[in-house]
Amino acid sequence: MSFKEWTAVGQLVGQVLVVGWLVWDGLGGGAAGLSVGELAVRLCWAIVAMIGLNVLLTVISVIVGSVLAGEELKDEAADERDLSIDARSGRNSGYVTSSCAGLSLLALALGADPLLAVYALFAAPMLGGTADALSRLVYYRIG
Amino acid sequence: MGKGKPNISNTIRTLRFHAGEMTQAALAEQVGVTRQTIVAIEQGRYSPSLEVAFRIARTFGQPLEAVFSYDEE
Repeated sequence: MSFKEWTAVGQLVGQVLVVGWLVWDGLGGGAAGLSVGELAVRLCWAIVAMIGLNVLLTVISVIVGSVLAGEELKDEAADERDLSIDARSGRNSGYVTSSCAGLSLLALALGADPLLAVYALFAAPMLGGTADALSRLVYYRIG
Repeated sequence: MGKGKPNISNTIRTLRFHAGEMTQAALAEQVGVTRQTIVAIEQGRYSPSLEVAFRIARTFGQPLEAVFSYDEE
């Protein structure tokens, strides 16, 4: 696997961890007693933590990849295949993000708890990122 | 790339052998793509752009049709 594939693995692990935390927190009553604004602030901090987590996981995944490959993995300048994979993965990510964001608005319109809608709004780009990382891994394997 | 299964085959592996067992990394550097892209092209998983195809052919000093061929199904 190449440097770009290992960074996608790191990104995927990070997204899965954050989505897992989100589900655990949301279903476990972590937002109980919070206002919508307070929950939004909390999720903004979660974004900051997630950025740090993703950087850490990217570094770890590249180190693991280098150990398994028996040589130092280095990033290479993107070529036409990388750009094509970027475009297709980004398209998939866009579909997932916009669908989830739309569903969260729909949930609000149907009278769902606004706290759940805030969670769903946060989850939308997380799931989009997951779709992006998964797509990269698949496209680098098949074409 | 067109839709469906690509039916473009190539002789890159053979040409590399005849070029003194040129490595995929060396070919990638001369063509200006990543080694992973050369691997994908060689295995028929990726059909390159015309520009990259011409650059590969030129690297081996061959006409395009000696490197790539389109297989009718």
